[in-house]
Amino acid sequence: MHRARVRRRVAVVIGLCFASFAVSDLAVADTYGLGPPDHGYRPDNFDHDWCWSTGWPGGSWSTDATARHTYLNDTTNFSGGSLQTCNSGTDVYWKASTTQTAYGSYICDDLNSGICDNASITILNSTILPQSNRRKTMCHELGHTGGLAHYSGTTLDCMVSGLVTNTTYRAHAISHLNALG
Amino acid sequence: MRRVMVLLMATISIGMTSCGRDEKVSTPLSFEQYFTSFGYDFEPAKDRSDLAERSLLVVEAILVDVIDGPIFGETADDPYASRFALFVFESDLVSGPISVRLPRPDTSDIAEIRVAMPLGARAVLYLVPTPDPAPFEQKLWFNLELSKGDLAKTLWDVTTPQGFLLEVPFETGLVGVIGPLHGAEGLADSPAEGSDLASWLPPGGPVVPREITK
Repeated sequence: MHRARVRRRVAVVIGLCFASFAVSDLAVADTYGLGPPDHGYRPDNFDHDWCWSTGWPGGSWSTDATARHTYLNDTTNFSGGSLQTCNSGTDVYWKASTTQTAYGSYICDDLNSGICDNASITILNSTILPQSNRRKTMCHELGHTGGLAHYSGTTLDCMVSGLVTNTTYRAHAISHLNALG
Repeated sequence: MRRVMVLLMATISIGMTSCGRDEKVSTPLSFEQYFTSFGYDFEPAKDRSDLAERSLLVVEAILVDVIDGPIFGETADDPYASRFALFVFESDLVSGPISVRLPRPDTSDIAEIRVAMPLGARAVLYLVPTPDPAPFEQKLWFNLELSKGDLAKTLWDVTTPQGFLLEVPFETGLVGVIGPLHGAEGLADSPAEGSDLASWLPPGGPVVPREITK
């Protein structure tokens, strides 16, 4: 097919999709749980158990990650989750690696009908990510395990990308977490 | 830009799910399912020049294979290990293959990932060498040969998720450029829709270290 025609047809296809997304764009701020690259998936329930897994340094890392879980439990409907030995039912596996180029990563390891039963969080173990920023990245990735999306607004929220130090979720994000939706 | 990428991600699955998201994970693994299994917290680059300045290798390449990559766990068969896939590219500018490390969610089989990927597709890649693990961490890595700084042996990571662009065929027979890793974090100077893949290279052109120049 002639290249120009191909491009026109691509434009038409994209245009059709654009129209549908443009309608839903009003709700972009409300999207939740759709999965990466921008979201996490919905968890199976409010009971968010976690464990220390591969490469986890312990010490202040454990203190900081536990504080993020405590914050989640104290400020949302999440409750009952606790630190446990890693097992197939654990919701969040915390890992740390010196080889990662991103500050943090979220991987859904067991996805069922849009619900993630197990997720791995890997935090960069490097001086590139000082402790204050590391706390933010922990908050960020834990937010993904709760289904939250990236955020690019100005309200303090750890779901923004990059080297910032916010360790809280904005009220809107908390509403999503409370509703798992 | 965010919309464009979301749209393009949606467009690739037109033949299967129209413009909507298919929430149900089913076998076999699809392209979309793979790339919606993981995400990153990273420092977004402002534009292509910024991304290129943070990269050691920036090239147009062809995706030729997807193979098993390193394993990060207590043992090689640790049920809670993180496993990786290597997306193998070839470029006219680079001697030897370019192996890009991406996650392999535990429920995904490498053969399934390979089948789901558009082998033969053109790509523009902004890459940095995967750092060798720190000595205290090396015992936790399996199926990984240390590069010790040798770029001919290194694995590569995307500089940021913005630096992984694929020209993907749609079921309609059309092609388009998508950035399946980066979602909302677009580049300020992203080429216009319908632009050729090569226009995603930085304004200064490809960047290839002398050690691996073909």
